[in-house]
Amino acid sequence: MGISIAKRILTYVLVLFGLSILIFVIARVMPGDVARMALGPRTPEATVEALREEMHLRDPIYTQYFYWLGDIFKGDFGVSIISKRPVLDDIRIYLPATMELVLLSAVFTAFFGIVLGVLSAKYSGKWPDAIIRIFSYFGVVAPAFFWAVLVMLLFAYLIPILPSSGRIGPGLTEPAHVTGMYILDYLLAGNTAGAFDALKHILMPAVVLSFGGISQAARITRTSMTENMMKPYASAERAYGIPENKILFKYLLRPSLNSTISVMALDIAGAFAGAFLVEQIFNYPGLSRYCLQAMLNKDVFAVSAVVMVFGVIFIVMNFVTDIIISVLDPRVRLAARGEA
Amino acid sequence: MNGTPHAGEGAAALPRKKRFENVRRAWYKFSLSKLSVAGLVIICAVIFVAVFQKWLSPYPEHVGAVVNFAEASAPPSFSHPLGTDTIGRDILSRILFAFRGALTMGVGVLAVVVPIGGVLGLVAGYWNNRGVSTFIMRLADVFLALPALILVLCVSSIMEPSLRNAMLAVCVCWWPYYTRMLFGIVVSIRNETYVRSAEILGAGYAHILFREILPNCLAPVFTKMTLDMGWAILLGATLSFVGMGEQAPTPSLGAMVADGINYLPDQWWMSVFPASAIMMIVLGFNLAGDGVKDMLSNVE
Repeated sequence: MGISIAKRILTYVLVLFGLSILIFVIARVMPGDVARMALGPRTPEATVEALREEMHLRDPIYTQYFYWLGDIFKGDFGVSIISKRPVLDDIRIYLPATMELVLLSAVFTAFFGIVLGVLSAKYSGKWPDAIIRIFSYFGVVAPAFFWAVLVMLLFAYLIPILPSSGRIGPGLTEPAHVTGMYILDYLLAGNTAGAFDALKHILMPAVVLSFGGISQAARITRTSMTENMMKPYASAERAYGIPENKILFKYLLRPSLNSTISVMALDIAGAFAGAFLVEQIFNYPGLSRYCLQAMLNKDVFAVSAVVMVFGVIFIVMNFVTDIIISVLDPRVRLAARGEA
Repeated sequence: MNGTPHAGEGAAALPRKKRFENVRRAWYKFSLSKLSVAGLVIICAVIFVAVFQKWLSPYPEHVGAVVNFAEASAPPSFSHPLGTDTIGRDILSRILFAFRGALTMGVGVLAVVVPIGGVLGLVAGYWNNRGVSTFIMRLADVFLALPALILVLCVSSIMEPSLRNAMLAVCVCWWPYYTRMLFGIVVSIRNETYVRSAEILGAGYAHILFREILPNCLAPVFTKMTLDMGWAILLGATLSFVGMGEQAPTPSLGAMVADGINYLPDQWWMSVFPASAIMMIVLGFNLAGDGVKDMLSNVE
């Protein structure tokens, strides 16, 4: 197992290296004079030339790549053209917001996806199953902005109980920075009203973001649950008189979760991409919205740095999923023990 | 090199009557699920509208930069069934006109991505464990390391916003999905007897790859293509939603939703109807995709 993990890590490092080349190439194909854009049209040519020199823009492209990579390893992602701050500082501010959003939507995805999937399997062929299956079909095909428009219309305007944009209400001050996730930071500061307000702001985007994942998880859980319900051991448990719910949630759920988890992990990682739209629509100041703004404004350094961050997150997620699956599946786990 | 998956290839050798019999059987399997038929109806309707948009839309002149302040922001009514936008253009007409761009997006992307990604997958699968294969598959891994949407946004942000460039950006990011899929199938069948026999008989690589292996990989490819039509259209709508797709005044569904969101909740029709149109297209291709899967599977 140790060797296979090491091999996998090596592959991931290679992919990451390839990704850095890809991102660099995309960022440098960007038309326009980066140094001139960074300094604005009024700066004298000599200053711009000095910056070009400093950014190694006159060197051949592969030399530039190694300068860029070296800087990244030193923790220097360059300076954002829009915010005029080091990109790393911007990432520190915006990443926790996106993390908070994605984590909350991951909780929704895991909980509702599995519960709906089990219910759907339990009432297979009856009306709760039909409703859940229709919902999950629409959850998969409808784009995030469709749900965003619908949910916003419903809960921000028709029944105005949730705010439609931002992270906190206008009357509140930001919590002291600990994790950067507002709900957590407010709770740590003992400000429950603030935490509640932050939760109200994040609720709609998180729900919208989780629709796709919930639907996928529910569909896959339903399929593998109904398959497992036919197995002889399920009939044996029923014959012993074990209550149906206990059979479902205790004995049938765990072996059914393998495929759910691998798909769910991809969906949760995909939520970082979905956040590009959702954060934009709900005006939520997270890293995805920041990245989108950077793309629209051709902010080369910010885009390449943030996309690199997303790449690392995605690859780490893949790796963690592999491990979780192998830990959950006794065959894999036992085989590993036998090897060692 | 002819890398395009060809529907008739396997059936071409069969006598005419048998071939018709196959079509009939395929349609029977497809039509077993009423939902797949519904999907097919939606797709046909969308294509019909896209072709005859000029005659079908009530206000064909509203497709351009027309201003009609007298009827600006009017709610749905008999003269404007889906309402009008902020400068008085009929939303129904604009949605109907946007269908052509959406379909162009889907067809254009698939026409580029399937042959390129497919041939790379065939080559990588056939010469598995060689340098070529490793190179192609690692390259695909790099492109698959990010969610498609992020990479597509990244690529299209460096180009001028237009429908053609949006298609190009999606193509750049989409080929590895077909490469990986074909790679998996080819690796599993490349040692089958019929492939071996062809090799022993001295068949050329082109013959082995395209006449022996390819026809046996097509079923899942067709299913994926049907589904991907929907996803490509959705990606195109997403790009135009953030302003990287077709530019005004040409109507595009994503841009209409983006504009309309600013006028929620009072002028809800400006965003709800275009968003529903996108959903309907994707739904159609998804339902039909399930049908294609049933049709091509061997399980009765």
